[in-house]
Amino acid sequence: MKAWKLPLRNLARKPGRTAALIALTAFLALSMFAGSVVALSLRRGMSSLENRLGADVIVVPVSAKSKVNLDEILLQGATGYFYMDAELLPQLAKESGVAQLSPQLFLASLRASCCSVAVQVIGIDQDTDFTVQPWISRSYAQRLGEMDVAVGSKISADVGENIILYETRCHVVARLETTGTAMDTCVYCSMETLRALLEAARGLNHDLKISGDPEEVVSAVYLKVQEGMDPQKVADSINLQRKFKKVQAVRTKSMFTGIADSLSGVSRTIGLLVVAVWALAVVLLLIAFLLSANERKREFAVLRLLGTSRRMLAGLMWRETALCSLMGGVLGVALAALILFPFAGLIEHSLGLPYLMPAAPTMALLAAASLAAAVLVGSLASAWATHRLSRVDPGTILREGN
Amino acid sequence: MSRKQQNYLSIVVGLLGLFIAIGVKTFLHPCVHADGSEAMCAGAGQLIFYLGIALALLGSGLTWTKGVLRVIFAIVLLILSVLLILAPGTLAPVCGMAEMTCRLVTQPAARVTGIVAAILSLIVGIGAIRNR
Repeated sequence: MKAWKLPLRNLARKPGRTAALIALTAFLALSMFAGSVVALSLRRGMSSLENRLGADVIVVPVSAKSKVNLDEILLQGATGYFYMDAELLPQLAKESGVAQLSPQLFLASLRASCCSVAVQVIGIDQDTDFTVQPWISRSYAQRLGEMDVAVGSKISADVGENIILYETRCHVVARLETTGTAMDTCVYCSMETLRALLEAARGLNHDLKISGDPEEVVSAVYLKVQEGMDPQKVADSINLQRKFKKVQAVRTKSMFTGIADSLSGVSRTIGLLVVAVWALAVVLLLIAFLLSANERKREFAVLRLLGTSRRMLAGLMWRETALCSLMGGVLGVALAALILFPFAGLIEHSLGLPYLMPAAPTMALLAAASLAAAVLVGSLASAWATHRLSRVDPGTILREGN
Repeated sequence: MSRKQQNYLSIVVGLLGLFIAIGVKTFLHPCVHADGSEAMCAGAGQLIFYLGIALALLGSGLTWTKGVLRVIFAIVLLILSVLLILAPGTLAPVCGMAEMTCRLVTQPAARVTGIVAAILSLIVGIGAIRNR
């Protein structure tokens, strides 16, 4: 304890210098913690999206391009709907290379008196679904019943509550785990429930542009290809056939290409910024410690003449630096947390990319690493300054002053 | 902590209050419906505004106080800061959807301002009690 008393007094005696050193290390820790959390959240968001989609190929009507793109619904949270004939399902199942397929039906609710929320409603075929069902089963182990819905984590409805969609009461039976994607803003239900909602929407004169019977339409068909088959070849084969001229097969990976490009661009920029901030801060810390050591040359010379060894002097300097760096590191991490956690939604919204923050233990690890890095860099910078100073003869320093 | 340092901190608390009060009426405003009518979170916005004004007045007012009155002012500042943290979502409702402006901007800004103001008020309060 005694060993820390003198460094603490030294720091308190020069509040301006101490504050500057704390601010510098705080900046270091803040940039490292914030940068790594954002980059990791983007990576987790992307992998969560890949896991959630689960399909290799998605078949949508050609008209989907001119209305709302599927990727806009799944990746950017846009609401929309498009329909195609359900008769295509058996034909698609017969296609070579298709191992599994499941249809989905879309409906967009309105920001109007008929609906309590304006969201994308997705109907899944519970007998064949392999994309949404595993996700739902983590929160709700049973089948979705008539007028039962499972809501994404960003929908403001709790389990047991009702939401009104096209003047139809739907019972919320599950709140799904956060994925960090636009899927968190969707409502999921069975095909039967969605068809009932389609009828309700039509009953309210909402033009859904369904040419035939609502019972005979689907919005998208999700395909899983057989082991060893190239999904691109399966998609190309569907796109080339005349009988599928009203639909288009999209490889899910191609949907990710744009988003993956943006993601790597953002991650690279964040990485470069963190490196630049660190380089700048390390240079500034070195200069700061060097100036501070030079300023205290006489003080150190007196200490040396009083019998303080070089080792003890270095220890004193290190303790001062460690204290400053620790305080700065804690401040920097706290400031970053104060921005990152409350404003996570805004960050996600501004980036327009899947964003899933790491779990608490990972966060704690990142915070500890940022703190350790700030203390280490501070210590190394002061060690260099101390080493330079300890080489000078104390007598010469004291004579210089006279 | 000297009286002068306490004054600086309480002025910062006052400025934070002013920031959130002006912000909630301008760039941190709660949601507004397309037809211009007030959304569910309008009440939260009003509450944040009044708490911000109260923080601004008491934060600057504390600089003219001493003794027990100073301690009381610091405690009131702390309570107001905690109320500011609780205002959007707990004391007054905000919109349900996580994508709404009040959830993305107004609520986190009020909470962060409240947390910082509470920490500073606590420091001022401890300083005032010690110096009394």
